[in-house]
Amino acid sequence: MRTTAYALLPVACLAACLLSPRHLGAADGGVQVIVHPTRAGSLTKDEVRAIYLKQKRFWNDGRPIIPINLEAGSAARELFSETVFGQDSRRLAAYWNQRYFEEGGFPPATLASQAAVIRFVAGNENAIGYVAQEDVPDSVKVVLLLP
Amino acid sequence: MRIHIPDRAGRIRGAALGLVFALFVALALPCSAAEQPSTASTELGETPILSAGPLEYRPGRGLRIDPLGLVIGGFTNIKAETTDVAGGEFALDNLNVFLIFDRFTRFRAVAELQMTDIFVANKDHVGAQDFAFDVRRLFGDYTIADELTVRAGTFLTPVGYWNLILAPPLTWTTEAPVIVERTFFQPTTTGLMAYGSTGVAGGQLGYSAFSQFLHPLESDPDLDPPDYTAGLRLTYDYGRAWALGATYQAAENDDQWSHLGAFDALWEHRRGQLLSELYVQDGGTLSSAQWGTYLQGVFEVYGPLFLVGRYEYYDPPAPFRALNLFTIGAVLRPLPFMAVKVEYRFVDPAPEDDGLRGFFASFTTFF
Repeated sequence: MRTTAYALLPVACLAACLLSPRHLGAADGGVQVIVHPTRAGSLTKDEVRAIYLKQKRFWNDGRPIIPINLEAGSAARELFSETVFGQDSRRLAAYWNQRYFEEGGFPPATLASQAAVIRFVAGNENAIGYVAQEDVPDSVKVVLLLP
Repeated sequence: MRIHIPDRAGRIRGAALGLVFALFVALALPCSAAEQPSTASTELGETPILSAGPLEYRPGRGLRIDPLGLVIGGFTNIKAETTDVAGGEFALDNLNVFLIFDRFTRFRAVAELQMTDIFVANKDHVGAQDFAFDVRRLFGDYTIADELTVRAGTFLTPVGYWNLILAPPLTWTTEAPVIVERTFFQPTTTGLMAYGSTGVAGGQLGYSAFSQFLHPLESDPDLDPPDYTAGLRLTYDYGRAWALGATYQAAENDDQWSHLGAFDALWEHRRGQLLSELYVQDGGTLSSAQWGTYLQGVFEVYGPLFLVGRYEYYDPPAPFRALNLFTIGAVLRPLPFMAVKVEYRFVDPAPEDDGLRGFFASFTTFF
């Protein structure tokens, strides 16, 4: 009887972990790539990938692009990395190690929350970010919806 | 002390309990990691672990002094090896310091200062007799557009794949392939390079056109730099899934021209990576054409533990014999910018006076 109880304990913990709101995550509805509302047009997934790998560093008007990441480990960041790069954040670190050594290149800056990303992008017309929430305010413009 | 041996049903229950617990641990770990995003970002070197006024230190990404736009970073490599010829040796092999100036959007300058053989202990001596200090790289980049950046100074020669990942934290083996270490080309070029890339069919098509016309900064007596070089490298990178590269370089030394062709291919999957390069060279002072190739495979066993295998073939100029080299090893990457490597390399036919065969191990990290 006691053995059965012990066996159920980790199962219960596992179920709690899997069903917790954080695990389900806000990213299950997809990720929206956002820019400043003054930016015209939309972006493709390949363009977003090139921007976040800093292979594309300038907007069409010649201004520098400022890509913003969410912190690694967040559901939205992992979904973004998987969808755009086909890899998780940790594997992408190998790419940035190489850029660091080869030319002193650094990965995009990170912000801790989606609200912070929206605030930053709304206040900087060269910035680009992404959020997983469905209701994106008018202060930013959605240029790509990732499934 | 008495040992209790459970009955068959008890063993099955125990095994089931163990299995459930193992499953729980395996699944719960990513959950708990997701609840600590700042820890994951720190491990990737994205979040500073030290922040004091204008100073920010990110592990594996250096110390940023913000008002100056200066980053001080680098890597170190500690190596132990035992070969048939040299016997055992322990060495603080490398301490390389990067100075990166990126205050401006379109201009960046990079210097790499290299200290080698800082401490060596072997059967002949203990100490720093062979210590050397060099300015390995020193260049400035001016980006005109995504498709065109101009680089001036001393920079890594963009021939093949390995030469651009020469830092030990980036490689999977302590010892580089023989064809990379042998004299197909000089690892650095002092002169000018124009490079860039553009999106094509879902990937990035890149080019590097480079030329050496100045004497290198590095004062390594083993180097015999050509007077002039001119080369072109084309690459196609398909979203980190696979990448191809092809390079041609002509080099002039004492009025004699040599020609080098190189081809490299990289394929990556979730748990594995294959990398291959081929070099062919003729002309110059070579008695005959030389060529070599290697195929290296990496397989992720579990988490940060990887297995590595590599086959190399090197056919040097006459009258030297061709070599087959085999390397097997394991790599532990506790953090993305850190590696512990262990490997054994054997050679066929066995060379008599060369330290190619043996055990090699190293600890290396960006800092």
